[in-house]
Amino acid sequence: MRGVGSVDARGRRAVAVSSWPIALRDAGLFVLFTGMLAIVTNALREDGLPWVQKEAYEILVPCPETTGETTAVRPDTPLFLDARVLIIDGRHSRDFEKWHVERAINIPFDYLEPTPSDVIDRTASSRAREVLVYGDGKDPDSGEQLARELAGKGIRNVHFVAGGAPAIMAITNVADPRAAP
Amino acid sequence: MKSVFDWPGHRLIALGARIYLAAVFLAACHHKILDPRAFALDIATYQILPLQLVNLMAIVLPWIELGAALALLAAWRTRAAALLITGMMVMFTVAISVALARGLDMSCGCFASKTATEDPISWHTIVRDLGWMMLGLYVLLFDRTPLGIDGWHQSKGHRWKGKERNRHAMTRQTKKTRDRIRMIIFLGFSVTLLVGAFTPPAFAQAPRCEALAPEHEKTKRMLFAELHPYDGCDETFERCLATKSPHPAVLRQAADVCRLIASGKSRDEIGRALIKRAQSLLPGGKKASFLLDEATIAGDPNAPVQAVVYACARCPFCRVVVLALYREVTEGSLKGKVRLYFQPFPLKSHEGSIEGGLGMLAAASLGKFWPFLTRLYEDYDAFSAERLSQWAVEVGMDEATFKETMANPITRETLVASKQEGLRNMVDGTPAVFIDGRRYVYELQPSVITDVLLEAHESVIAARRKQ
Repeated sequence: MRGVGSVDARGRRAVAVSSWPIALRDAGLFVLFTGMLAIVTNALREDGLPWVQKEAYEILVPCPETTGETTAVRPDTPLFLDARVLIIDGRHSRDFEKWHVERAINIPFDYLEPTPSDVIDRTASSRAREVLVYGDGKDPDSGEQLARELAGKGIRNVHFVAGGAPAIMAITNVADPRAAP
Repeated sequence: MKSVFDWPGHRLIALGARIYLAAVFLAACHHKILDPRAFALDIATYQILPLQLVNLMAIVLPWIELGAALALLAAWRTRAAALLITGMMVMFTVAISVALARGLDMSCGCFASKTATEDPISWHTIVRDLGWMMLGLYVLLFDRTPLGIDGWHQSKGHRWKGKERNRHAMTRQTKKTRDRIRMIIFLGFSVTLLVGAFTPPAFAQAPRCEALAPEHEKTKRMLFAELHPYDGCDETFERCLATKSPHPAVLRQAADVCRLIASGKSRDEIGRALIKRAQSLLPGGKKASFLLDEATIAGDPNAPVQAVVYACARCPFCRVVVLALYREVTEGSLKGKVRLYFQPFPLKSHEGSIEGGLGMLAAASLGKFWPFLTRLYEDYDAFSAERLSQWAVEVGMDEATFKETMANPITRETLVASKQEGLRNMVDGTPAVFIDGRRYVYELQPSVITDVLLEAHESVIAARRKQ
């Protein structure tokens, strides 16, 4: 790299563009001049701003519940039979112990507490092609809420079973859920 | 030996990068310079700078962007301009990362001032800004002989005057000239600071039709001749307002259109805004249903309009909206017209939201809901789980009873039920306002919500008179 003051083949100064200290100085001058221009313009314009805001701005942006996009699937979805799909039961652990879909893991959904990060990490690292969540089937459905929370945490291809566990139980002959041992 | 910096293709690639970056920054600074107030609001929304510096940043930054963009375009002081561009991109990237980490759902303000739905911050925004930063770095590091003024200077054998120049060779006359220039710059800057500091800036005109600035009059006439109010009259605004006694709803909507014109909104944006305002008021669709606790009511219980707000104890925007609405219904323009209910909706992303929600419900069951809530929101920054019982005592509750009620499983169940109800009503963030069961989807400034609530009240009264 040619430095300041070096000479090229034609005997010309190589560095027309400023070196670092000069660039910094020029940048400082830029800020100085544009700042002056900005201040003068602001002082002259009718809708200029006061230099110091005394009253706090009304910053009104809604705070979102961090959720992501999911899709609803029917309770007889073939995804239940796909070994590459991670099945999650979002109900309370006592309901899970009574009955759950084969291969399902239990991640009880809590409406107040966020799902623990280690659970999210385990789900993310499961290498499952898709994630299928079912819940209590109530309104709101814990399965749908858990699915949205997982999707909001960056897990992709998350589906929830419309109607939750009651809908799956009603068609056990299709989805083939079995009672837990 | 030639280095990678000496490749002649760099100047062509850098030319493209410079033109692209200049176009981006010219587009970015345009609206910011035209509407510094909107840009100041964007900066304030990030909640990074102290309030005292927000306006100064909003005044100066767009002009730096403009200067840097023009310098890049002309290749004049190219490295300095590229340095500034790169530095600004680093600053923007950090700011957006902080906002994302805080879970803010907001516009990036990059091309001020779109709404969060039009230009929301996301990881894509960061990637985009990093891309622009890399372009700036490329120009900074590789554009050694730029096509433009700097290159022309080089070809003519010019060199920048500066430290690299031999100071000892400088003649006395040159030194004198340089000192004079420095003195002029110093004086100019000082005078500018004094002028800026002591010139009382004229604030934006009140956002009402009669006070619109002359440059907005033409837009107003055009929009009033074209747009129809959603209620109160079937003609265009122009014709509706020309009648002997225009409908109050038309007057409110017209005033709102003027407010939007004054804030620089486009015709399409104003059209969409009117639709959202209408959706917040007009009947249609399924109404939300609530299980309301009379302990959380504020204002006259017999007021004809019902407003319900779902809010989180740790949502900064809930604090602004809830406190403003509380003041309006208890002692302001909504007194006797609107009754306000509060429903806790703790957000999982907000630390302390559960404790805050439990505290609110405990206060509600002990008959001190609003004194406690206003205390909690007014001292928002001092929040901690331990402070809750201290505030409870300050507003007249017994500490032990308050703590006991907070720890009661029934209180937690009530909080869960409130959250579930919110989810049933499609609440996906806070604050979420409902007016007589309809979701309010319009702007969240308290003044705008108040205006819409007043319109709702007028509609209810007019309907009662018809009956």
